[in-house]
Amino acid sequence: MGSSFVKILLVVLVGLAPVPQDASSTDPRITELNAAMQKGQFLDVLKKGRAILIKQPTHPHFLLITGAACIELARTLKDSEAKIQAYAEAENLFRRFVIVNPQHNNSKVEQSLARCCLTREDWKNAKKHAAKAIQLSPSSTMAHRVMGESLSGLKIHKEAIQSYKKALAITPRDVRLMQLVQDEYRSLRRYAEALNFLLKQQDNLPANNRETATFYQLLYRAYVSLNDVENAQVAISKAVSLNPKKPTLASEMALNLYRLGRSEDSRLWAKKALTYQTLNNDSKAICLRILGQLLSHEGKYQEGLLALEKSFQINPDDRSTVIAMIAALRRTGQEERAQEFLKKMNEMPTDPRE
Amino acid sequence: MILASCTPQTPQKNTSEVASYPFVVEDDLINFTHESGARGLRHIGESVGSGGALFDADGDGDLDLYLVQGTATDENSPKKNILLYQNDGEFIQGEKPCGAEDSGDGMSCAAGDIDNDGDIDLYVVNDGPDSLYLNDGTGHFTDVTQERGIEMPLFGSSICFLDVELDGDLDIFVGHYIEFSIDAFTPCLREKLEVYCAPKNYPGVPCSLLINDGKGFFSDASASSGLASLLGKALGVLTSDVDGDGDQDLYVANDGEANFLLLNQWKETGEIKFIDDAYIAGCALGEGAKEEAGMGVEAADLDGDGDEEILVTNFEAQTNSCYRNDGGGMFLETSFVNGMGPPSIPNVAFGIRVLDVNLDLLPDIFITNGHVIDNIEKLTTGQTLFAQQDQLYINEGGTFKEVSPHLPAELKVGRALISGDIDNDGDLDLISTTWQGSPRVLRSTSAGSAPVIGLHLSGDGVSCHRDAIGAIINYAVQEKTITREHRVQSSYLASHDPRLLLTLGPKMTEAVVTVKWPGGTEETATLTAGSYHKWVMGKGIVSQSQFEKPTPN
Repeated sequence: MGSSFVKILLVVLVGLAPVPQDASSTDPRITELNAAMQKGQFLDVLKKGRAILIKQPTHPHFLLITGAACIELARTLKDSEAKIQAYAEAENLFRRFVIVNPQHNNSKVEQSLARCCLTREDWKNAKKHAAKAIQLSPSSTMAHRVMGESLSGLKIHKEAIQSYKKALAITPRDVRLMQLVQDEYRSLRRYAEALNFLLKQQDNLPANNRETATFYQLLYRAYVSLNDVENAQVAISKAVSLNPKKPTLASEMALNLYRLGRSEDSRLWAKKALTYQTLNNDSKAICLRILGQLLSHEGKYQEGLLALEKSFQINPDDRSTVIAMIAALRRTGQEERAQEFLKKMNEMPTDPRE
Repeated sequence: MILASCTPQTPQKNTSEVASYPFVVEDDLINFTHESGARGLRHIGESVGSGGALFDADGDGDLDLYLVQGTATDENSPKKNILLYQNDGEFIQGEKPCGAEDSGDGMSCAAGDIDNDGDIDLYVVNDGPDSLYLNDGTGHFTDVTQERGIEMPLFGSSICFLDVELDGDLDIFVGHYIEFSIDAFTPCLREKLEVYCAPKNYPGVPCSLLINDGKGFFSDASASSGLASLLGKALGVLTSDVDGDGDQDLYVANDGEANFLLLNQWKETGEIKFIDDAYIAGCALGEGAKEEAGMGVEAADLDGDGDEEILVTNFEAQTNSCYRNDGGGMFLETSFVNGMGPPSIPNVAFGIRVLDVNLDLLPDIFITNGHVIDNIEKLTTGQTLFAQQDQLYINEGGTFKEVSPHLPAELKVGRALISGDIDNDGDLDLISTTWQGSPRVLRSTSAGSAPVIGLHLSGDGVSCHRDAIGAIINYAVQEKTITREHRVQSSYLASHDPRLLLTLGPKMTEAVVTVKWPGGTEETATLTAGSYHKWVMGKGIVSQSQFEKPTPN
């Protein structure tokens, strides 16, 4: 779930939940939990909410605020099992709210339920809740977005695009929505349409540089999909200029420069990307592989091998790394290890031509 | 064919402008239209062909052109391969049939002296039974397929002649593509549009090896040589002595599968055996360690270190591969670092030929492109074209720069690329065959801009076959030794002019040339620039003919 969504959700759940006026205005616990939510003390809210719900299991406000805290915490969890459990708890709380308030008119509750269904890939029920969310609030960006995600899960890509486009019509500068549209076009293998779509969005770029950089990163990927590495370079350069500290931009810059045969520039960007503590592992492995490949191309196989081995440690499933290692191992007299890696590579899943 | 996709620009021939391009396009020189047999069903075989051969069929000293026809589009009319005899620069059909018209669904052919009688014979590869035709010396052929022991019913693609066991005759290696059955065919859809199916939809098949008994009779050694157990989807094949042991190895570009590097074990074991060494050698997979859609294949010493790099043309979204030969049976894919990669990514590349287009002693690369999906423009809203441009990569001493090979011309759906000095002026011209179109002649404009030696090798017909495939040619220029390995078949579905052109330095008039014949015998001669020299093993230079004056552009 995107952070913007969670923020909106929290504001709405906390601020607009159909909690009886008298209860919310007189209950100091509500004031306390609302304040804790605002401060981001989600675990605290969750613990207190759970405790309250043991005694008052159908209290609408505590159901909503505890569910919201649950979702916010789920977002931060790295363990996928724990994440699913957290969403399941949130779903349980929102469902209980709906049972208690069957006539509720809160679109956000339906959106939250749709989101919970999406996390457990229950596309059909997600779509059902998304439809209700749209019915309750046709001008809600998020309602259309969760509908799009549900349709995407159901592999109804064309309709998913329509839903995302409706959401974009309401929030035209939402880069995340643009990305979702692009993803759907890619699923349909309509790479040219993905690019054309993005090019049309250039009139609706977000005001802040970080978001705009993300847009250009999407544009870069669209060009790469169409094998246009020259225009891809223009796009990624623009992205980097707008958000020079985003680690993945540096690694994508290194990769595209490598594709363009600009070895020295590629090396510099790969090294720069590797200086970022927050660079994700996939990108780190790619940068190390690039460095290893460049060294190998120069005949510095021993040095290259060191970088390639580091890359392999991070991502042992990358065939490019393994094949580069085999070449370096053979050229440094390590035939036996080369054969071992060849065996490994032959056991790896292939990436067949589309 | 989608005519709307082509660029209908008729180049205005301005002499100075034309001369600045390495080639002049002649689209109307050859009266032949390829028929793929496409009748709306989109069987994969329709998209593959077809190729041809440049060779002197009638022994009159100029190159004739044999073109392989696919399948007649009208199923009621027979299809015919044609032999066009060159006469005063024109390619014309003979008054009577050449005898090698063939009735199969044609893919490619190889020209060579199969029966060792001094003229050039033809082997035709079909999607279905292949054919062998013997030349009577006048450019008329007789079908001897059955009597010579040829039985090749599989879906063939490219072919090359070689002397596997160094016994002085030509053996035959036939690349086979896929197993395809019309009865089992189901159409493939993309975006509700029927498209040609990708090769992954069909099982691979083994290549075949036919061993010559010395008299032009063949036995099938596919199983005993180990080839029958190697299933692939061969499209491009060539010979090269990759391990430098003196026998001919083979490289096979497979479509959507790992390529093969088939090391000939003859020198090591005295047996007719091949071992695939491509994975460990580093030339099985393309950039990104992917099994790419190998089509055409070429080999040449691009970096001047005495051994040959291997080049493979691939599908769009894949770079054309350049496997740098580091010696010791080790290759490294270098297409992204040498500049060949990025310009190749948008194209579906087929024919490829290495030649020194600007006569600067550095080998350059010509590639012809064309998509296989005839309705690709609909699928990509015009982003990808069916007919695509030719590409020329100029060697800048380690890296390659793409330049325009000729004035803007109509885009074609390129397939085979066949090379030969059509006008005998001492430079290498090209013919690219086109899908459902006429072949394009690309006449080189480089003749006369640097001294060049022409060389026509001939084995003695006893210890070395007359085609001398596998001979190694060395000569020194500007304190460096240039090495060439002689082959006639490479690229894609192509058989080239068997003669070689050796570029010299600017002020040179002659060069000492050494030929290492298959089998290991070495001979040396001093050859003068400006002529073709016929060099017969054991006899030296037996004839010499001056280059023709270059044709004004």
